[in-house]
Amino acid sequence: MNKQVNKANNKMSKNIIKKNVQPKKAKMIVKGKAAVKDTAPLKAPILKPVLKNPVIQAPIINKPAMTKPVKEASSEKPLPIQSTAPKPAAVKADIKKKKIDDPDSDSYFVYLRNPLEYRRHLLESCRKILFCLKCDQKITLIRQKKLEEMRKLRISVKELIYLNKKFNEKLPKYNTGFLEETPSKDKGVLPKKVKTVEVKRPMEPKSEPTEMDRLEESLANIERKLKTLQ
Amino acid sequence: MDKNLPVFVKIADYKDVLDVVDVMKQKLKETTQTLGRIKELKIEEDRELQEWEKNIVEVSRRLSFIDSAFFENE
Repeated sequence: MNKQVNKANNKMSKNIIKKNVQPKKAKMIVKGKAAVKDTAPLKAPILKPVLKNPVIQAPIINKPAMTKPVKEASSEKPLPIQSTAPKPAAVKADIKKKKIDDPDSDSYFVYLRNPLEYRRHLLESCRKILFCLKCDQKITLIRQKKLEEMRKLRISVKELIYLNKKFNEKLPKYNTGFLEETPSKDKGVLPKKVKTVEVKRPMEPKSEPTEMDRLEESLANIERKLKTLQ
Repeated sequence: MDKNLPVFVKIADYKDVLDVVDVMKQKLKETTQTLGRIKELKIEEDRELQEWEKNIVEVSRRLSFIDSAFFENE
């Protein structure tokens, strides 16, 4: 009996609750879309909204490009702005209108008398700058060619030095000492001997002789020989 | 001994010497040509640099004109 009474009471209470129910629209995000589902009334908090397999995801995030300009986005990540609900189309249209109208309404203009002339000057400047860049390329090429030619010249000079050495080897060797020993004809005019005081220099650490040093040495050698011949 | 003593060279060595001199002549010719090419390149480079300078002067002149025209009201 009690069970029957309880069942009857339950049915009654459910009916009462259903009658009182005033469906309220609540926004639920289901698989990325805002879905409108019926929920329980506020008066009856016992009842909960019933959804078929509800999948609650993170709220929709605005595109990063909307928050910051593209140039800045490359250096640092833009902070996304979380939107709780999508904006209606009418609001968007208003924003666009404002964006279009704003620059005209707020900015100032300067009158230019001969805009075409300025434009021409700017274009001419651009042309000249391009010419400069072209020149730069040409100079780079010329320098490369010059370096190549100088490399060839260096090789040729080295070969000439080698050939000269060989040439000297082929010539008969004779002692040039007798040239220095030959007595000078004008004995009367003898240069006075000047005492030279040698200053001792501190010994410098000897480095390996470079190409320049060797050339200097060979040059001095040749000059010495020339002096003896005179 | 006299300075003007004659110098005698062996026949074999003499031929070698002649060959060496021939090669040296050829090399000298090549070197002279290379030097000429380097000189030409240098002249060309100088010309390009002059052109460059001229262009830069022209650009600066035009820019200063534009600058003065744009900011004359200030």
